[in-house]
Amino acid sequence: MTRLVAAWLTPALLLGVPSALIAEGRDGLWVALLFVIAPLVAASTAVSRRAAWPEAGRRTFPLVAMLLVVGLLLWANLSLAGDVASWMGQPRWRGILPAVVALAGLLWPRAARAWRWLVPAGLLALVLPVAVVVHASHTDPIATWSQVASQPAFRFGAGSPWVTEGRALGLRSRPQALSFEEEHRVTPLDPGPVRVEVRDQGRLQVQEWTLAPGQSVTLRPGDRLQVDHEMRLKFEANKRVPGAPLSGIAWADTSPFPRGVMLIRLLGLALTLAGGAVGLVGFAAPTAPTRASVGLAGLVLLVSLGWAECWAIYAARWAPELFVGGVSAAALVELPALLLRPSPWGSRLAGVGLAGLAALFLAASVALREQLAMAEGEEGGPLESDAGLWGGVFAVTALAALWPVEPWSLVLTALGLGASTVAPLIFLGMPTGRPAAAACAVGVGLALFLGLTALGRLGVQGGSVGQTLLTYPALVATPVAGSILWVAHRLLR
Amino acid sequence: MSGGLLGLGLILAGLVALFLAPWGLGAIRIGGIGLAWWYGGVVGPVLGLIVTLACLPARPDDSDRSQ
Repeated sequence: MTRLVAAWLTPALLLGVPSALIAEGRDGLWVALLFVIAPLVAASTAVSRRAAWPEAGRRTFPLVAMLLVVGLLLWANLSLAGDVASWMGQPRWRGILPAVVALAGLLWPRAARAWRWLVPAGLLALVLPVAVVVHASHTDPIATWSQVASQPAFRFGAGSPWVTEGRALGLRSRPQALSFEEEHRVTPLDPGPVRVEVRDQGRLQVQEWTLAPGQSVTLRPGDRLQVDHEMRLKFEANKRVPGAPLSGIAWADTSPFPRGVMLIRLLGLALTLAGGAVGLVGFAAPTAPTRASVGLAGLVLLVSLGWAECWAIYAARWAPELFVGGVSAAALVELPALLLRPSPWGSRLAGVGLAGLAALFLAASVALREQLAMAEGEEGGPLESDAGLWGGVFAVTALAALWPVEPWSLVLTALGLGASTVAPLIFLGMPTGRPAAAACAVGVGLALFLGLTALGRLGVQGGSVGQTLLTYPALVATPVAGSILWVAHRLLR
Repeated sequence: MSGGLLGLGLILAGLVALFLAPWGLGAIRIGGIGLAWWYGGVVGPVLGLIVTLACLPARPDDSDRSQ
């Protein structure tokens, strides 16, 4: 259970909780609740299904699926490290390289055995900035939530860096557009063309200007500013933040999705996160978890959730500019610096938080490595024999992370892959005497998941329901893989 | 399905019910915070841990720390 929680507290997943709460408001609560419930589902499954594991864990196909899950989670975190470097105005490799060097250090067995101390140290380093922020703001989290939920609009503060000095947009690999709800003068700080989508009498037009340094463009309500390359922009103080919810009530109490689509999204997220957690336990649970280990792990999860909720509430209240261009996990790291400006302690606390995330990343990486080694049946001495494999995994994921990919989408892909391949085997068990059926179920789950993910990445449009299925491919792949296993079990009776 | 898994499923269903409840039930303020936020952010996770602990079978050997 300790390993599962350490793997679960991987920064890309942990930061996904405050990101979802800020970006989606009420709907983000689903991610917050699942963040605690999903590992508990895995713990409960470990109790009831462990008899099926020892044989299954030594099959090649499920182990390959598990290696893919672990590799994708590492990729997500290294991509986050690259995003943080970009956010700080540095090239991506400046964030990725130190993380890979630290990971390589953990290939040394003596260092790897001390990883359990990294979890409490990392959590402490994360909680400290929140405690200072709460103290400095003179409002408790409940009062701050009430203030956010009752404000008529999310507006730029006069001292916001987006207003005083300008900030870069365009972290993401896909082009994005900023929607404006009221007249807003925007000043690009870099030379280059500025494209604006304008609706004129129901017709959509794209207007393009090339502005001299210092010139600005005025956008009207309904206009959209296209951001297809990295662009530094200055905004106006006291104007609505583009991309933010219409009001505090809209953020706290409503969902932008119709009921049917919302239900499919909730189901997709639940299946992905809970199935992914079960997949992370994988076949590495020869004994059931004890009450003490589950209780301790649960407390760690609750503390982490409390941290994520405070982080989100104070960000929505005091740094609404984080909504610009969509909430990114990397930008959240800067929160203490934004809240405590102009004090230099803000940046220092942001650094402490970053160190905490680094500690959690290292702990998660070793936990994932041990988890995979245990699944291979190498309990007790896994850390010397697989250094070559892990060196290769670090190198491949580090290279992949040079290309900016949203860390949360990689986390969903990793967990969805686990839910589509490993989780059905654990829930339904290996069909004894029919190893081909298990291989077939894992293979079909893998193929369906990867195929639907590829369609989603290629931008295939399929209506709102189809789009949700492409976002959460486990909704299709898991039931199909489970059905194959169920039929195999029935035929054996 | 074990009791723990059933309990955790019901806790998740509780938040879905609050999202879909009529008359903005989830938006009712209790102590300054919306009911859905209390449930999804505080009560549900704590309840989940309690349910999981309550449904874990007692083990004679509680000294195994490998999990």
